[in-house]
Amino acid sequence: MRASSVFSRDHKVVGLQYGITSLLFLLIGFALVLLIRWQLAHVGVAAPWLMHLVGQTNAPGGIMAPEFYNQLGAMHGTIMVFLAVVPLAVGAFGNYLIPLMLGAPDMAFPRLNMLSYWIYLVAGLVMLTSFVLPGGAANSGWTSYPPLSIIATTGQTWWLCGMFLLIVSSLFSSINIITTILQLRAPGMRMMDLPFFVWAQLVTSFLLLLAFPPLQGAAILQLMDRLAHTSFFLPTGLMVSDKMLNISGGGSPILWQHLFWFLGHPEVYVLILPAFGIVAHVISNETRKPLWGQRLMVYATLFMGFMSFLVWAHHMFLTGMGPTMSGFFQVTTMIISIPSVIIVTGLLLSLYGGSIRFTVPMMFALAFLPMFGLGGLTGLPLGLAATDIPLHDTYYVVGHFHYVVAPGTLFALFAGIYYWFPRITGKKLNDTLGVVHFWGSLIGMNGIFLPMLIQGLAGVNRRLYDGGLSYQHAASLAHLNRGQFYSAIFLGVVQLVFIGNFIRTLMKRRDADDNPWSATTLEWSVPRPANHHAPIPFTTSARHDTGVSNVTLGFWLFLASEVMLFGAMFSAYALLRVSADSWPHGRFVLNGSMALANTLLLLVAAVTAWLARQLGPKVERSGYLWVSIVASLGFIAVKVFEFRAEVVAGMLPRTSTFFATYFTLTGLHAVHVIGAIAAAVWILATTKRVTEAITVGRLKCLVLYWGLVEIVWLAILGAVYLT
Amino acid sequence: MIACAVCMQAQSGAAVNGLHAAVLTLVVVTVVVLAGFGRFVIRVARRQ
Repeated sequence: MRASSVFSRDHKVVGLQYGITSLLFLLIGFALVLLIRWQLAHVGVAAPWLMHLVGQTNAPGGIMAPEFYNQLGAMHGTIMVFLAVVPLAVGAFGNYLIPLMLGAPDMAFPRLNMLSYWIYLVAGLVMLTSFVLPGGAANSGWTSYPPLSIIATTGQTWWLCGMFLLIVSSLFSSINIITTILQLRAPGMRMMDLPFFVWAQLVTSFLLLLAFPPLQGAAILQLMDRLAHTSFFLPTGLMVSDKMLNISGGGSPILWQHLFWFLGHPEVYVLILPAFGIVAHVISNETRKPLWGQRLMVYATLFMGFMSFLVWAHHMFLTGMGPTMSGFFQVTTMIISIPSVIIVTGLLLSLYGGSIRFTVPMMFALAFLPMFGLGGLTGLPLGLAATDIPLHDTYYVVGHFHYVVAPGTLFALFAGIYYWFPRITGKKLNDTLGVVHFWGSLIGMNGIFLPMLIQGLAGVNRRLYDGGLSYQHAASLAHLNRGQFYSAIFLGVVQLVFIGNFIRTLMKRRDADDNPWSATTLEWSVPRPANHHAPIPFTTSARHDTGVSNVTLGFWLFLASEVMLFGAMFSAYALLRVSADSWPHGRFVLNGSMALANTLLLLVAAVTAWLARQLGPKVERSGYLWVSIVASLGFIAVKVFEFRAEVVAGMLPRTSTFFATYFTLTGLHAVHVIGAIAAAVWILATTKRVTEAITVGRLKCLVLYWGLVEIVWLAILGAVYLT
Repeated sequence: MIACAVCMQAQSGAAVNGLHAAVLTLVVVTVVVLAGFGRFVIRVARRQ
């Protein structure tokens, strides 16, 4: 295999790379759950094979260690959500199909596309590698709640680094998908002409773009707590093993939940919207008629995307946020159920009057509807504080979530794999084996998840290492764990049928025609393999209906994600400051004259960058850019002097929450200034190798970036230095 | 500040006010960003 095909920028190759990798992660995540289910069904039973499999430390004497059980739980959730389902739904299906459905030559930024895959792979490997570290992988749940996650073993640091990389990859991918859909539609293709699948991918990408940066901010803060011993998430007087921690305190564990769930809830829609898109596509084709109310479904999807940013705190009713706040989030949560119902109703009505073909993809798509419905309906009691509080820490939540994601999203993804496999390979997966896979998965998944709802309603707590045997109310239902274990084994065997079918079909000679489903959509009309290398349009020139070029739109999207990142950081600042018993006045503690000098230097840097953009002759432009670079370097130098003076005076990040906030906010801002310097140097270095239009486009982006850096600095100045 | 879910069930107090301030900040930033996208979408719709 040539390096050019491994490091390919072709959207189809990148899509396949995402697909294969995410399926492997899916398999690994499932293997972990087999161990979890084995433990819950065989509490205290020594199994020599387990010791041989996971080692003496993790299973001394063949009995699984509680710490290892926690690692399995945390990593199962992380792998399934972040490394398997989302990359499969967006990275694989999105990358492969969107350009084909749009009639576009490729994604808008092919190099960025390739980069997003490789960063994703590295992120996944970082997370997996943590299993072999002393203390093992992350063990504080897939939500990484502090204070547990702060005092956890090194695996948690790797989890945070992996998550940080994953978010970068996700941002690259979402910028690419949004720009591709808005800019590279075939001439004459209006937005409302787009297939529902593409709409679902568009809204999903917006969610990824805007919801992930706050978690990135939270990851930075948690890394600070773990590595620089700050107390963003650690309250005063925290006791661990009867000993008071030697920390400044003053932080809030609730802050992490606040930032995590700001991502966490839109993430649910990231999981489900692409699934809606696939199911809609398959249903439309296999009923031989258009979708019922596609326009209405598009509006519902847009509304769902918007509202998904305003419901996150319904995951936090147990923290006690006061009735006003909880009332607000209960109302928004009930509202967001409406677009979901509209979409599911639209899909159901699409079946009416259709000439339905019960093919394997259609069977998965049809099963998706009641399974997702069950997941959605069981979610309603969790959206209301009165019912959520008794249910929240029980298996009911686990059952609800898995109904949404496993027989929900995964069934849709399987539908997509069976449906588009002939498009990708020219070979059709075996129908009989597909039917076995479908019925086996349906039975197996319900065998695992339905008892969870029963256990939850009986009050069995989740995350119990012994499956509830130590609690009287839970012990009477412990027998269900055994049934769930056998269901999981059955489900695993059925997946082997799928894997066998997959490999067997790949190895056989081409047998399918180019369109075995008689599909009429655009992706089937392109010859296979479609390796056209037409140039990407609108790289620097504006598209008539959007009024912007690809680069400009992509950069605006990047800036939007940056605004969300700093928005989350200032949100953290607001929580810590308002809830603090005492908060020092920055103007008395910090060096105001250095801050003033830095404000002037930043102003010079931004204005000269703007002048370089405005002026035509290259010599003058270079001069202004050099002034901008020197002023930016001056800013960094002053910042270093300022930090050094504070450290010498004993004002360290760990000294208090105020200093932790100060160092983190200004440090993160300084990193952005360094980014601006690097960008300016790069523009200068490449100006002779690229066209004038490209250089002007880059300078325009640099000026926009400086605008963000300036605004953030002024906000820091006002919030930290002057108050 | 001492994190205590029971104490924080209070309707007011530093911890609750802090959470309100954080939520408000993030909601405002989000709505502003989404409004920007909304404006862009309207512009595209009008040009089509």
